[in-house]
Amino acid sequence: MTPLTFYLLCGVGLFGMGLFAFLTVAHLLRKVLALNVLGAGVFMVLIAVAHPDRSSLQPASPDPIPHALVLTGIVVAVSATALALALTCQYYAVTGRTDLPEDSPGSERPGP
Amino acid sequence: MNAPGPGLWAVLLVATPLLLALAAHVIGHRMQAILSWIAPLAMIVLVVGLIQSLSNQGATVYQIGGWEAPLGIAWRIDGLAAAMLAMTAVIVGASCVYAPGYFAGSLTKSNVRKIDVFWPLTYLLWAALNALLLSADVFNIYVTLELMTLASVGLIVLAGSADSLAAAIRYLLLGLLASLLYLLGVALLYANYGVLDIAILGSQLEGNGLTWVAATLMLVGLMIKTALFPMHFWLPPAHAGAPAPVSALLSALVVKASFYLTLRLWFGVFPEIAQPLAAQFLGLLGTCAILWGAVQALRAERLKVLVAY
Amino acid sequence: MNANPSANPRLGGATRTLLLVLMLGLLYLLAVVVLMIPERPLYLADDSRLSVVDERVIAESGVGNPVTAVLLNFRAYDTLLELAVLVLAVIGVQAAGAVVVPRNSKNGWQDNRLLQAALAIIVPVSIVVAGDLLWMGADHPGGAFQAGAVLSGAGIMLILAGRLNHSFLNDWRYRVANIAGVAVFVMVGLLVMTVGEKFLEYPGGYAKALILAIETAAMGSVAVVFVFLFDAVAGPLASARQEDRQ
Repeated sequence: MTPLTFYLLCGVGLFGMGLFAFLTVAHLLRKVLALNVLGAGVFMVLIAVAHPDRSSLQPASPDPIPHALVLTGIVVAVSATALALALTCQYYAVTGRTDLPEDSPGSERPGP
Repeated sequence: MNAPGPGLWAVLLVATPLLLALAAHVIGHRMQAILSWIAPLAMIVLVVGLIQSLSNQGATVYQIGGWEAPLGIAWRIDGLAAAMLAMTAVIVGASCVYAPGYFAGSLTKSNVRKIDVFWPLTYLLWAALNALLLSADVFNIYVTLELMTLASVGLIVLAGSADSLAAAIRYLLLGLLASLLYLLGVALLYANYGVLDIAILGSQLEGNGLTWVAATLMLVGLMIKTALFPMHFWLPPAHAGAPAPVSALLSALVVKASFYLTLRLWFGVFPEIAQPLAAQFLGLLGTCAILWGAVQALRAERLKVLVAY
Repeated sequence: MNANPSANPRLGGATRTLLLVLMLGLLYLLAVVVLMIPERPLYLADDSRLSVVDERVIAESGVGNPVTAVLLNFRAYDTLLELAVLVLAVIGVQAAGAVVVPRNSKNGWQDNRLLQAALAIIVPVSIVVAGDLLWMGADHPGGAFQAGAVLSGAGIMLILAGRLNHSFLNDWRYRVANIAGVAVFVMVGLLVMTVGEKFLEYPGGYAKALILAIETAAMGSVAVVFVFLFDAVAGPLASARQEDRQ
C-alpha cells in the first residue's frame, strides 16, 4: 500500500467515524466534535490528492490548489464551529440542556 | 469604450451588499434609511441593468481576476441566473422594507438593538445568494453555501427565544453536515479530474463509479439544504422559531438556492449521467413531498409551520 | 454492546446497529471509489504536469509561494468570501446575544507575577513573529492566516491573564478591525476595475504590493475575530470558575 493510498483511506475512515458519531450521539458538543472529525477526513482526502508522489512523473512540488482549498475549508470550519459552540453555550445557559428537545427521552414535543 | 458588460453589473451585485453589510456592522444605526429602502432600490436597478446588458450581449462567462478557468474562478451569467437574481432582489428588498417596523426597538439579550444586527446579516445573506447564483466553480459554491448557512443561522437566532436557539442550532449542524458531504464530492471530483470549473468538468466527465459517488454526495448535501423529502425534517421547526421577515427569506430563497444549484450541477457537471430515470426519481420525490406536506398541514397548529409546508 | 452514556436515547440498539452496518457499507464504497483515483488528473492526462498551477503561472502571479499565489491571486475571490465567513461568525454570535459584558471583578491572575512576566515577553515576540510570517508568506510558507492566528494566540493569553477586559462589540474600533480584511479586499477588487481590468485582476507589476496590502488587513481581521470568538465562548466560563474560587 502506498502512502498515498493509506492517507486516502484514513481520510475516508475519519469521514465515516464523524458521520456515524454525528448521527448517533445526542450531546450537542459531541455533535460539533463529530462534524470536525468529519471535516478533518475530507481535508485529509484533499491533501493526499496533492501529494507529488502520486504520479510516476515525480514533479518537484505538490499541487498547491488542494492546499489552498483546505486552508479555506479550515477557516470556514473554525468559524462555523465557533458559532455552534457559542450557540450551544447560550442554549445551555437559557435552558440548562445539552441536547436538542427531540433527542431527549420523555420529550413532550410531538414529532413532525 | 464598450457599454458595460454583464460582468460589471454582476460584480456590483455582489460587492454592493457586501460593502453595505460591512458598513452596517460599524454604523448601522445611522444608516437605517439607506439600508431599509434606498439600497434595495439600488440593487433592483443593478439587476435591471444586468438583464438589459444580457439581452444586448448574450450569456457570458466572467473570469474573476482575469485568470481563465480552471486556474481561476468563473461566473456564468445567463438568463436563469438573472431571473434568480431578480427574484432574490425583490424578496430580500421587501424583507428590508418590512424589517424596521417588525423589530421596532427590540433588543437582544446583550442590549443591542436587533435591527442593528439584522442589517449586516441580511446584506451578507444577499451577497452570499448573489455570489452563489453566479458561481460556476464547485469549490466556490461550497464557500457561498457556508456563507449563506451562517447568515441564515444568525437571522434565525435573532428572534431571541429558546425555541429559536434550538432551531438555529439544528439548522447550523445540519447545514454543516450537508456542506461537508458536498465538499467530499468536490474533493473526489478534483482528485479525478484536476479541475473545479463546472463547464470544464461537464466536458471531461466520464460516467464511472467515482463520478456516481461524487454526484450522490454532492446532491445529498444539496438535498438536505433544499429540505427535499425525505430530508425535510429540519425546516418547519426553523421557520416556527424565526422572526417573520426571516421566515420569508428562508422559505423563498435559501431553499430555492440549493435547488437552483442542484439544477446547475446536474446539467452542468453531470450531463453524462443525467438520465431520464433520474428526472422521474426527482418527480417522484416531489410528489411524495406534496402528499406528506398535505398530511402534516392538516395536523399543524401554528400558522407559520403551515406555510412552511 | 455496553450502554453508551452519550448515545442518543431516542435511537434503539437495533437502529444503531443498522446505522453501523450502513455506515460500514458506505465506508467500503468510499474506499473503493478512493482507490479508483487515477495517477494523473484526467484533465491533464496529456500533459507533463500534475496541476494547472505550475512554475510558469506562478511567475506571473507576483509571489513565489504557490499556495499564496492560489489563495491571494488565482482564487482570491474564494479567500474574500472566506474572510466574510469569519465576520459572519462574529455577527451571528452577536445576534444570539452571547456578547461578553466587561468583567468587573479581577480574575485573580493579575497578581500572578510569573504569568505577567511571561506575557511581557510572549506578546511582543508574537507580534514580531506574526509580522515575519506575513512578510515571508509571499515566497515561503506563511501568510495572513498564519500570522493572524499567532496574533490571536497572544490576544487570548491576554484575556486569560485578565489583562483584556473589554466589551468588544460596543467599541467601534473593534468593529472596524473586524471588517477591515473583507473591506480592503473588495475595495482593491473594485479599484482595479477602474483601470480596465476585471474584478480582482491585479495590473502588471502591482500584484505583490496589492497582495501584501490585502494580507495585512486580513491578518488584523483574523486576529481580532478569533480573539472575540474565544472570548464569547470561553469568557463566561473562565469568569465563572474564578468566582467559584472566591
